[in-house]
Amino acid sequence: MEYIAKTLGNLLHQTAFFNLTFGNIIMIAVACIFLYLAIRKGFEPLLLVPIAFGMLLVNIYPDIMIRAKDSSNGIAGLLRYFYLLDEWSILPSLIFMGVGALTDFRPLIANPKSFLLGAAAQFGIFAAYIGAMALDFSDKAAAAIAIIGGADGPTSIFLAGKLSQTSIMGPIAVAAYSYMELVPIIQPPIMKLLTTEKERKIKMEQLRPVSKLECILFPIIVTIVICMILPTVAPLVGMLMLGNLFRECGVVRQLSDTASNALMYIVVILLGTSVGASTSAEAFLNWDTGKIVLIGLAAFVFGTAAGVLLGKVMCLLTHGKVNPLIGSAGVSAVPMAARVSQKVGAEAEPSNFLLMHAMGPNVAGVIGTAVVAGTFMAIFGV
Amino acid sequence: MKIRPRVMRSVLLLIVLCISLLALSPVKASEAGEEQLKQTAAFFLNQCIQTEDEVYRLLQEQREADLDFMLLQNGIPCGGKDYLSILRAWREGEEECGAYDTGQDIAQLLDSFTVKKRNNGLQLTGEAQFENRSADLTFTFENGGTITALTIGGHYDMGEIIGKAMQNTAIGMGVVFAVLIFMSVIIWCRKFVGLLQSRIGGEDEGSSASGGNQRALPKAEEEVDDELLCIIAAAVSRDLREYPLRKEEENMRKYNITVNGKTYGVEVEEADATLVGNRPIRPASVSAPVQTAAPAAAAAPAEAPAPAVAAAPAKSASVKAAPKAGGGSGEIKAGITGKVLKMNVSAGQAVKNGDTVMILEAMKMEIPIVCQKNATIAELLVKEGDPVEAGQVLATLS
Repeated sequence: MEYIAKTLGNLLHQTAFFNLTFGNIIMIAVACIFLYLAIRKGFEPLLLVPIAFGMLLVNIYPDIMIRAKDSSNGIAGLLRYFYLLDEWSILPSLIFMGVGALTDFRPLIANPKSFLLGAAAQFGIFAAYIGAMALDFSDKAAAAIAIIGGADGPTSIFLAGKLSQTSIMGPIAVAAYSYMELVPIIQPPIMKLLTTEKERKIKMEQLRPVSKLECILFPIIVTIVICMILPTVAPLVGMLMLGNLFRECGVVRQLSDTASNALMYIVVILLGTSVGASTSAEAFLNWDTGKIVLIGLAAFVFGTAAGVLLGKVMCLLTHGKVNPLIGSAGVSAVPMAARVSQKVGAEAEPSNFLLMHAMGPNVAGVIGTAVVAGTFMAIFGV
Repeated sequence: MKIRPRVMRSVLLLIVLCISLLALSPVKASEAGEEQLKQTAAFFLNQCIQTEDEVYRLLQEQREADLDFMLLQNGIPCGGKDYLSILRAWREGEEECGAYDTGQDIAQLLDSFTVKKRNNGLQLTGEAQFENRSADLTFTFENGGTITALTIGGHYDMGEIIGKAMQNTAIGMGVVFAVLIFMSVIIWCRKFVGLLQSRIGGEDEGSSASGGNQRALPKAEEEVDDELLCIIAAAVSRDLREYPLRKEEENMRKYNITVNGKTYGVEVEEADATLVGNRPIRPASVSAPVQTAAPAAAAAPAEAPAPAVAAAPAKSASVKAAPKAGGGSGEIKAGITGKVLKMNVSAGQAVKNGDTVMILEAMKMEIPIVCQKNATIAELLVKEGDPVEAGQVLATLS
């Protein structure tokens, strides 16, 4: 009888109820709301379902993220292994390969001026960096947080890992991915505020067709140039361009299919659950998370504004051939930001087709954000 | 069904029980006593202050295993690698904030430090004076009381922080613009690549012509205008959809396309499997009229491509040229390359300015095509599911 009582006691004590804190309960509720949004409302389910589920798991059973050296048998929790792939920047780089295999760089090749807009939108990152420094974050933490303004989840995780800011990686990743989804809500008011009706109505001329040779040479040249200047971002830019070369060279169709489909989804599963799992209540529920979310929002606003303003300058210089709206697409959420440009442009003038023109700054923004990450790493000597 | 209320009640009871147990569960005591942490920190602070550069250099040269063993023997709760990183952090801190002010009593100093729980361990944080400025010292401990890291964060005033951030911003934006402008200049240089390519391409064409292939002069390419190109593209993409390229054709197919009595030679090369029918044409390979068309071919409706000639790779497909009744303004053109998702009108239907004629899909985005005048749809040149090129005529108006 005593044995039964003891065993039952042990069983009761190992249930989650005894280890749950108030914070865990809040995070479980948040995870359930996310799942509801993803499944019922269709709010980017591909990302949100794994993230929310990781969040749920880690707050019910924190040991699923336990480190190998803290566990009794020297084996880490399942999601800890997934998370190590983030920390070692394996998953972000693989995601970039998939993005490369999915992305058509023709609009950028056809209109190299888009690079300028892609660069201008990176100002948001630096504005956020100054803001984060003013809000009492350390140098490196500020840089890792600011990169959210690039609207680029993989780069954010990559930089946070490289600058060894793993304690804030969870909030950074969650903020970066949520803002990527919120681009269509954040950007239009700023774009409308900064442009006139007349500017929004500007129609841009058709992009020239791009030859296959150019498409093949582009990833090779970008890799050489950027990896020469900023070798530290070689993992990101190299993988992005490798994926694109798979796509464009036309002789490795299987590889480009795998990189953009099967592999991409495998990586999304691993990345999503591990990012979700980095949001245990004790790491997530503090003031820093609030600050990070605010700074991320500011980064987006400034990035969009800077892109649109440079778009206006280019509009003036080319005597009204450039629609400033494509500047906002320099924020590198591909292809959400480009879609927003198209949408706002079509609102002003239904026969306005900016999507392809906006793709130029958009993909330039991806490269630009990677360059910023490399610059930060160079500044901090990582 | 009678059982249900009872089940519900017992479940409720269980939940209440669990919640009450939760409330009663003992608060977890911190794993290592605060005193013990402070002792360890004091020891390391002394180590940092006393370790000479020479000793530090020697320690760095030690093998990690030896260092681990040495520390273990002396009962120092720290791994060899972490020990070195703490010494390094101290040196970097002194470089940043100036020499440590040795006038401070270490025991007193550590008394003012506070312990915080952080992730999987504890942190001991407090302020210490250095020559140039004060700084926050943070010792990080693992659960067992092992020290893993020391960080020194100098206290700067807001002006200094913002100044530094501004400098980094200027450097960063400078680098980004420099790199990306450099990239765009390189891409701009493609003009020369294009020049080179056309020269090589020209040679290729010369050699293939001598090989007996019927090809037109490159000069005549200029005569092919955009509209014609779109008509040809539509015909080719329709044909490709019905007869996809086979392996035997080595991803190449040649067409002779007749438009308004003129026949054009078209070469289709497959660049990417996902793009078949979407961007199948290399405009450069549309060549000038090579033969006079048979009248029958010109009259054949676009919906029915002529059957393939079994032996020859070249097929003859024909296109009904868009009637130019109302001039160029009587057309609705696609503004973007994509696919026809939905048709909102049918031929013969009256449309008003601002009506959505059809919806295109490009990059998973629905893009409405809007009619810009009051007219009647004379003819629809595409149907749902058709891929369209930017600039292609979608419908004619009358």
